Amino acid sequence: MSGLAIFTGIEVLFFWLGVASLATVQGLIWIRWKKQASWPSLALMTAGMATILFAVAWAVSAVLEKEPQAASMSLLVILLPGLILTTLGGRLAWK
Amino acid sequence: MSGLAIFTGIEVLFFWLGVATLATVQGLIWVRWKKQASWPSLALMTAGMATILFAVAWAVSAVLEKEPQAASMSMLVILLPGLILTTLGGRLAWK
Amino acid sequence: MVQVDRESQFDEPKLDRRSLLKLGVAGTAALATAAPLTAKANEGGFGTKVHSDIPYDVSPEYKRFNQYNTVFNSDRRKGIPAMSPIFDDSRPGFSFSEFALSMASTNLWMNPGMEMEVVHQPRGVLPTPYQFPDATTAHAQLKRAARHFGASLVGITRRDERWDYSDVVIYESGGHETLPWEKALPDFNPKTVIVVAWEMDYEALAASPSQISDATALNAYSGLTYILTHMTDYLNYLGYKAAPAVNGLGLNVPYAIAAGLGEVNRMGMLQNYKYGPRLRIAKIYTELELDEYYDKPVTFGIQRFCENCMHCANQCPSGAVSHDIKPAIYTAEDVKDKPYINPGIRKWHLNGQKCHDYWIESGTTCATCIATCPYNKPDFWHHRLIDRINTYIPGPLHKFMAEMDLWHGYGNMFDEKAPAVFWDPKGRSYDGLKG
Repeated sequence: MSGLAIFTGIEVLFFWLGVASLATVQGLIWIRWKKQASWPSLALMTAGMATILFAVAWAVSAVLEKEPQAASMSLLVILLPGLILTTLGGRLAWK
Repeated sequence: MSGLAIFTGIEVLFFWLGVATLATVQGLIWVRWKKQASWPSLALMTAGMATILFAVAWAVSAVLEKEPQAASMSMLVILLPGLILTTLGGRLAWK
Repeated sequence: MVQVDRESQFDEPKLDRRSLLKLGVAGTAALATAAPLTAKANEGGFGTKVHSDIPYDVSPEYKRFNQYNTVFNSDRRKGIPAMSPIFDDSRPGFSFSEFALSMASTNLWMNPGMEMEVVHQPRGVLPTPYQFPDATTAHAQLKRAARHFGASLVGITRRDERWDYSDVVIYESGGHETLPWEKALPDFNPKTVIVVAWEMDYEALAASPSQISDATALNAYSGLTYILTHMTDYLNYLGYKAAPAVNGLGLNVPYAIAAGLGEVNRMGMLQNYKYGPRLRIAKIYTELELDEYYDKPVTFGIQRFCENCMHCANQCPSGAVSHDIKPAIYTAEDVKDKPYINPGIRKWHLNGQKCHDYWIESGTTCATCIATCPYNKPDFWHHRLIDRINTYIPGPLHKFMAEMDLWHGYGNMFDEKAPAVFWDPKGRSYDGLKG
């Protein structure tokens, strides 16, 4: 979604963050409800998904401010731990 | 939710617009799926909900730019038609 | 309607009683219709501490600084100019166009609309100076006026003689002669100092040291000159004497701190919450006195951060910025061969001589330390977040944060690609897709 020369990059970013956050919360509720996931696994997945969302927000912001190195680094040092946490939580939930 | 001196009002607004937009889309899908709402009623509700979201965005932005009259007027000339469209669509769906 | 003849500004007041009455009615109506005013002192928020006085130890031996001893004046006496700008079309950031940009940026600073560092007299429109209804309104209106004239920041504080030069250099003497402050500005007893700051451009400063980074610093001085001359005129119209000074008459940093604009950092400069050190500062002395001064000094963890960061000291090409972990109070003995350092206050001390020597050697005004500071960032949510976090976390984590800043690609100096980023027609829009 482009800004259509109306919305700024930051506005578009926060809109999609809102969409993704609600989807994440619903996903976590669904996992608890349908998969009877344990609370530790849910805690891990919540932390992981929050970290992933934060990493995406950071990376997009870094691209918007034209600091590509900051975007790459954020993927390495924030997204990666987020993915690990989420995967661990997921494995606990699905085991 | 305040900006915590980190997020601007516009960023907070667009985040919640994202949340509300996904919730709206899911709600419309649910109405079609569970209530077998007709396409005309869905079209009306979609137009109505989009107008309501637009009105909320306008009103909050007007408050942020310290133009309370613009906020009030947007409630009158945008929110009200949005509510009418949504109500009409809802009545069609639930009749 | 009251008309003011600008040409006869120093004539006796021409208002008769009826005109004064009209003016009074108009003023009351304006006040009645205006939105209620509130004095917003400092940008508060989590972790920000407000202090009643300047939050640094000042020893009993502290003395007012003599302007004669600034590096600029001591070098001037040796025939060394303040700046020695160069151009070289083969070097990025030093092309003739960039040199021209830098030179043109000095225009207003070098040719102000009124003389600086002298007292300007009331316009005499009113028979007695205008009285603001209360200190809150005065703060709000003075600040609005400064912002109207382009100030990025403005703070108001009581005059504190400790921060005024003991002696003021007579410019025409080539830095050789001075006058005591009180004699240089006779019949002037300022009560208030209005401190204003001008934001330097982020991309331009990222190109430091070069003619581009010089351009934004010099443009800031021209901008400050614009604000000062207009604010002085505003105060003169209100009926108060005022003396504008960019770098003259007194020390900018302690006045800015007293006016709540930030803390002092390792470079000895003002560290503002929003702009970091990416600011130039100036001030106006005025006889207008307020019943209360709302702006108070604030701290938000800069000293602890600077103790652990060291970016400015590491990047300084002349080694002028101190590597001492903690700030210190110097005695007169400590600085006997460094007269440009004023002892008696706890801070990090910049070696101004080394700094200015590099200015002359490099043909720039450097600014590497300012540009590399982790607090020098464009206005984005993730930087505001990190600034807030830095206010709370303990020392070792500050070191980690400073290191991460470099890993993320910020604060690289002597970057030959930076001038191209500055000139890129697409620019850094900071609002992303808007271009």
